[in-house]
Amino acid sequence: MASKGQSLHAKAGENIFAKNPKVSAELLALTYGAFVHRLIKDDGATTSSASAGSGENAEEVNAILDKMGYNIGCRMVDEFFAKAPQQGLCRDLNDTAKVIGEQAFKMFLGVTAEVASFDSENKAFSLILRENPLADFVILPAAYANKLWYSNLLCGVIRGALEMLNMKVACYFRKDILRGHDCTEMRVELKEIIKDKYEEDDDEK
Amino acid sequence: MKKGSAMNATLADFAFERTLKPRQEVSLSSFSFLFSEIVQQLMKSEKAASYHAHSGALTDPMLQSAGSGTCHLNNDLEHQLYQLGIPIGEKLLELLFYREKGGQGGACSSGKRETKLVSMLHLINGSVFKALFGRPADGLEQSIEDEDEYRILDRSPITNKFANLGKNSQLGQTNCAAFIAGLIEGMLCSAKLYAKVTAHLYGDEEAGAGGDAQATAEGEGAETPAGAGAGATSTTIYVIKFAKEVAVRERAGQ
Repeated sequence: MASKGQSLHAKAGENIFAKNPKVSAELLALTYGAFVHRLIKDDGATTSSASAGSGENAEEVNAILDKMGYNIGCRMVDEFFAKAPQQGLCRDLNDTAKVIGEQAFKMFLGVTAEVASFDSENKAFSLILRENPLADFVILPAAYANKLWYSNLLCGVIRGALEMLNMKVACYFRKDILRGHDCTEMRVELKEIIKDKYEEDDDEK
Repeated sequence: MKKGSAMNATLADFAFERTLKPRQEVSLSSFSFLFSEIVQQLMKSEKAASYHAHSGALTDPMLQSAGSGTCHLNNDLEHQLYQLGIPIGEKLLELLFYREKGGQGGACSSGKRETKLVSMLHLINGSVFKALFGRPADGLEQSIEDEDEYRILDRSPITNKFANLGKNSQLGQTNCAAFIAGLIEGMLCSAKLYAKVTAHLYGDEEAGAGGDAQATAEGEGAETPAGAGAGATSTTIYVIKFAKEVAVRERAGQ
């Protein structure tokens, strides 16, 4: 039954991906790359002491990418549900992980991410990407190789999307092909489920 | 591509090997989301002063299409997008030539590069637009007044489809297709056909029946739900002005 559920998500993802208007993946990769390049150059220019090539602003760039991803994720989740209206509630984190990895990634990026490494309490999982469309044609310069998480945008997207669904998560990279690892791995940890807050109406009828 | 040091040699080999296969496509929405975030980031890093200084000039729509220099001076955001597009164009040229003509195994054995101006423009009009956006550009014309000037028409550039900067704000005049203009310029300059490319909005009779009628006549009124505003901003013209030496070289070569 588990394998049937898996292929359902994957199939749904593929169908929706096939129906959507598409654009060249290289354009996406090069646009993202030009932008990250610009962030590195710009951030380096504004800090007085560090030069652009020294890698000191990697953390800031990571943060900016994450924030951008967060904004994207908040809106992307609406689009996801608009395109996949039959997607119902997920029973648990397992389901959520599968939907993200197999359906959502497929819908937007055309690649699927494997879900792995569930921890014992089922509060964290890993998404493993064999191929990352954002990181095509990229080689990290030596100064940034161990500090910059190039695809940090993706972490922000997942964080933003899940936060819109009342799940507060922390999402970070563990491994990155650009750093020489064998795959790209993102870790998603559920921090808490946010309850809807209903505020008292000020004017009472 | 970013530069790697010697120790990244193996990574580089790996990177090239795996990415030179034709990559599938991604959905338009991911590009649109990314692009809109980029625009927002660029806006944030702009100094606010530049808007106030140019607000007077921007309100006149005639000034937009007047000359290629005006757009750059008046609108810093467009300029930033344009600057962003140039390196992308340079790399895309290499990639597309490799894919189009050479083929994977042959490593450009039969690949020929376009050196003639007009054939290069036809290539951009056709194959490049098709490879990037899934459809060829809508028109290529040579300007009558100026021999060195050509125009490429684009009915709905993907950058403008979902990025709305607000009609009434000063930014409402910004054309996000400046990004694509930079891309085209990067390609041309990389092919040694130095040119200046700018993006202009076409059909600026916005606000009312005139704009709407034109939009529906071109067939895009049906697509855009927002009617008048979107119809007026749909069509973009990329004006390509070649440098003198390129034109001279072309004529000499013929």
